[in-house]
Amino acid sequence: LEITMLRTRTIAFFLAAALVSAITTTQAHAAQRTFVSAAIGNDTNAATGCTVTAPCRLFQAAMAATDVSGEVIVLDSGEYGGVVITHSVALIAPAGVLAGISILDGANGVLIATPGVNVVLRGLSINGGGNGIRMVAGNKLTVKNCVISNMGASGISVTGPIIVSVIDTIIRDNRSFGISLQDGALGTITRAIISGNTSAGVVAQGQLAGSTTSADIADSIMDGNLSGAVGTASNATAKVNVTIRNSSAVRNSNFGLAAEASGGSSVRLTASNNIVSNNQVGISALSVGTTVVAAGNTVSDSLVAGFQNVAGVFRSAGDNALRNNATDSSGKVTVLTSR
Amino acid sequence: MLRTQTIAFFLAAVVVSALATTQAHASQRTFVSAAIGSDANATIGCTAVAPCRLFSTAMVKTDVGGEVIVVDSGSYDPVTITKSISLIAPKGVYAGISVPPNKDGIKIATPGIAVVLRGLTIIGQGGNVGIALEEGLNNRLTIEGCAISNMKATGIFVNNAETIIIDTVVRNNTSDGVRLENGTRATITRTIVSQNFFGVDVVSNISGRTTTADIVDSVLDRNSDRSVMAQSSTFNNTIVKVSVRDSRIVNSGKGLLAVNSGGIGGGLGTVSLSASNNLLSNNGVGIMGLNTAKILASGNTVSNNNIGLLSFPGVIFESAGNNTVRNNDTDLSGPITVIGTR
Repeated sequence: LEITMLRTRTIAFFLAAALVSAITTTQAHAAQRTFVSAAIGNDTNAATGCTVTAPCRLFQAAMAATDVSGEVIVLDSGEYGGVVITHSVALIAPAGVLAGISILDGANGVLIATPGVNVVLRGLSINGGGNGIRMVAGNKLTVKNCVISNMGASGISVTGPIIVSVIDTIIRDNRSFGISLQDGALGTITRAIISGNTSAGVVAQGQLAGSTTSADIADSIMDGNLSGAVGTASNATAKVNVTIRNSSAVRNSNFGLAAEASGGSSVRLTASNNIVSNNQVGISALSVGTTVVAAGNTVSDSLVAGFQNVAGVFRSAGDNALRNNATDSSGKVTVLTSR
Repeated sequence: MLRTQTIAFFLAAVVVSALATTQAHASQRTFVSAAIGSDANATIGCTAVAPCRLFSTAMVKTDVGGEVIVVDSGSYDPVTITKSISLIAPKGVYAGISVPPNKDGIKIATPGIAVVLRGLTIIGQGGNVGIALEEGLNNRLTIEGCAISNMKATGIFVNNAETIIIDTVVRNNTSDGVRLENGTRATITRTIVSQNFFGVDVVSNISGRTTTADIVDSVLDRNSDRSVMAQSSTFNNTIVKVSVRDSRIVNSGKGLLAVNSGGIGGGLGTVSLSASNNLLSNNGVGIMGLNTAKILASGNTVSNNNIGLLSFPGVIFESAGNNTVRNNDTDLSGPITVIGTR
């Protein structure tokens, strides 16, 4: 019995040793943290793991050499190329370094289409091409301290049940939406500057049956877009919820803030403590199925109307400052009792 | 015939070749460096490894819509921008532009272009205007994270363009900190405008022009004459719309001033000013209206001024009834109508 035991233990030991060795071999050139450099980087350094002393040149090569949930660090300012992200990773340019991703054709700057991944993008400057950041599968997307501009499509476009955080980021002059959240995407947008986009600055869109899509926007600026922030849904069982607080929706050529629903869908928009000025229409409930709640906003200098209820439900907390609009309030607005 | 065609072909080939040569080294992103930059590197395109020295050289080598990136801290040159471009100093890099007498720091006078300035420090050393956009037509100007100070005239001057100013300091300029004129539509956010003679002036004096400014989360401090002025002047049908929210307007001659001085040409323009959730303290006058200006004040704290709210005859000065106006030498002067909130 003892011999059998010993043999079993020996075999177990060998198996364990073989396993450890196998893992070590697999990870020989993958690392928790890899590096890229425009000044001295070379993608042939991927063979040695894109180290800080022998960095790679482009994001794509470094990502492949990085562990799941590891980080790619940018060492110096330059161009780092578009990237398709296929595992959980963070691409990080520290303050003082500009990491450009310039796309000359219609491709996306950063494309994520792998289920289950968590992606962090920090300090990137993305311009030209299709969408700046496009995510169609995965768990989480965090965008911090980035600038996304002059894209042929949207700045950030996310479709599906993905948790999205956009913080301290500038999204300007893109030729579609600033940020598009669609069919189950749940977005938190904080301290973002969203300017001059050809379509809405932020749109939450529900087209998929049973989906709930949301955008919670705080401390942000939405100016000079087609509209500032819009919730829109078109499927009977789709829900869209948008909240905007302590933000500016100004100088947008259509709506500052608007909710729009069709096909029996439901869209709720809650706006509190915002400045909504110099838009065509300030805050609007455009259609049946929309519910707008407005509290503590300043709404002024709208070319058509400050508050507008076309066919939805529009409730006010009764503490909005509403003046100097062509029409201050249009359609039925119900004043709620504060509580 | 054949010869003509041959010549034409050769000419075409030469033109194509010339174009190819010209564009060979223009790129979406170029680089400038005070430490290792040389304008001789323009021939190979002001790259990250072989950067140029001056903005003006790198700009020529940059595609329309492209970016000039500052690689390291140092002194860079005043520049006249002639195409859509971004000049960018990343955080942690100091890009200083000293402006000598009779010059402007950044000058833009080409119609239809979009310019982004990020992270620049522009200092007048006898120079006139820090950032000057003259009479624009479909121009856009974005100023992010810049500091503009000590100009002999004005910090930022914009005539008739979409303008975004954010996270910027405009300080100690002899005349205006920011002057927005005749069709300019501006958003000013998280910006400090301090120690200028005039803080932010929003003015229309050309018939049919609408000038707007939305100022949020900003500090307007120690501007001798006034911190913000909305003014329609001289001609018919000029419109000025200004909103100020969540800002501190302190230690100035007048905090917020709306004045409609139109009429010399025969008719009056319109001036409206919305002020909400601001702190107005230690000014000569907190909020002041002249002639036929329209003012709405909501949720402001107005304290420790010589006069809190001042309305001259003809002004429509309305309060949402939720302002705290106290501890001024004179809290209220002139007719102010409480309209409530809704």
